[in-house]
Amino acid sequence: MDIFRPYLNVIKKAVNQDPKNSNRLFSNAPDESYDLSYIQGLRNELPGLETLNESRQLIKGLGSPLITSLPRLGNHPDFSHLRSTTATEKHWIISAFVDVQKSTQLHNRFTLATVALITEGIVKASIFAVNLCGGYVHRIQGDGLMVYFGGKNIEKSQATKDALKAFAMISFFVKNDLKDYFESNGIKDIYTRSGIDLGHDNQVLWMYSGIGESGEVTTCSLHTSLAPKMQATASSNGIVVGQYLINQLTSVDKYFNRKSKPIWDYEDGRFYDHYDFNWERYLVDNNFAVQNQTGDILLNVGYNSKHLNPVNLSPIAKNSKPYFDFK
Amino acid sequence: MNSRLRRDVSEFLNLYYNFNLVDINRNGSVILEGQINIVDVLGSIWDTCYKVQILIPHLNYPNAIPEVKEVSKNIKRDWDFHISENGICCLAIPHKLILAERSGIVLIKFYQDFIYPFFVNHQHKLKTGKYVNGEFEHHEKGILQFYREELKTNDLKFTKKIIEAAIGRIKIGNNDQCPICNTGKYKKCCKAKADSILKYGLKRIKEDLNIYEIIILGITN
Repeated sequence: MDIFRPYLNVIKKAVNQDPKNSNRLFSNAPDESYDLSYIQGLRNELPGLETLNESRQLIKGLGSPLITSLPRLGNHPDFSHLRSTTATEKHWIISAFVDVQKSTQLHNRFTLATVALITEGIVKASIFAVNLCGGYVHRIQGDGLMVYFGGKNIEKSQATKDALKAFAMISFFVKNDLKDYFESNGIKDIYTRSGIDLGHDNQVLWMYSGIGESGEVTTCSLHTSLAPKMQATASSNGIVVGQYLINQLTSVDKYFNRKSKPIWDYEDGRFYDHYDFNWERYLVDNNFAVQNQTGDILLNVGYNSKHLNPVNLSPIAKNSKPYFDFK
Repeated sequence: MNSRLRRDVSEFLNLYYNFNLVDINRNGSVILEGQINIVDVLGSIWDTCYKVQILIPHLNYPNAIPEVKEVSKNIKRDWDFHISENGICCLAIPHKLILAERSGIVLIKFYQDFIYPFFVNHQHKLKTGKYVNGEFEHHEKGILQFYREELKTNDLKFTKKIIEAAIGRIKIGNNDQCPICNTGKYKKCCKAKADSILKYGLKRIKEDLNIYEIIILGITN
């Protein structure tokens, strides 16, 4: 089963049961006139840590340690000692931003409770993907996330691969599972845009920003700031990454296309480049996804091939009637 | 490589990410290598995947038929699996391939119509013991089976006469009494059948006639 299917199923139920959507041709009634008590039940159906641990064990093996709780936002575990202090620390990090575009149109179609549940489903699915790939969710902004990959016990190259994998999976979820379903319900152009960049040790300052409890352990870095700028240049369902990130990979030609205009001018004759990431090719090439007969991509991460029935091969196989004429 | 082949290969590689170009010209063919994963119509992913090479001839492309070599050895080298010792897959009866060749192939469509279904059908055979739509018998018997199904007759001599009429070995006017079954004017009797097999090309049906002559002679003797 596709690892995002539990999230999609809850979103489907919410859409199918939404009274505003089903009555929209006949009524302009306010949300208050509908019984929306079922929403709470659906919220409880959204997967939690148990699903995350099941998927981790499918991917990493039964011996992988269970996650008992996810770290709190704005408090990266490797730098949490900076909380409520004036101390700072220089350490590399990969900063990444993703959000869902054109999701405001959901308000025209559904009750507020359904929109909230859809948003919660997308955010939880994204948090799931980030944590599955070893990332850390730093901040939630509506239907968007700010995420860090990296820390004190991981290599840059591994964190880079983790970031690309997580964001490719999130993009896949919205571009395929979610979009197909929304389009079949008349909602078009829902898509993600993402930006990812790496700042090295001398380019990233970790610090506590805020007053008292009203603050977060965060980074001050050109490259943390460039990531959302890259996100703004991404195409629909696109992921844009910075030069330092792709420098961590050995094979890049297949996956990255340099954008014609650099993302940053250092004003000393140097420029910083950014690249469109062909995440679909990356998923397939690295065995995180497979393609069907027509080239559609299906996520393979944590996939459990149960309940296979040869009857479902027949519509494709019937076009083949083999012969043998070798001597 | 002609421009049509270059374009088709490029479009193929931009759609199927698991395939790579390994040689532009090896013995007159472009060689693509990649992996075929089996995904059924419900989107379920099956465990077995096949590493294959697709050899696409430069000559006459798009009027050419690619050859497919299964290199992962996930198909047992056995006649019953329609594969040669060195992994060449017998995708279809030659007549179907000739039709594709004559009308000109598009690589992506050829993959979807012939290559992918062959491997899905192999999975089906492994799981159920049979190919979904049956299979052709081996060698000459398969050709006889093809005509038997195409012309809907078990009569070898009748089929032979149809082939002879198709290639013009028997000269028959449209309004002549049909010499094959003697039941009316040729144009209203067997002409449609003779015309229908002409689409496989004279070269092929002459070879088929040869098979019929040998087999009928063997039965007679």
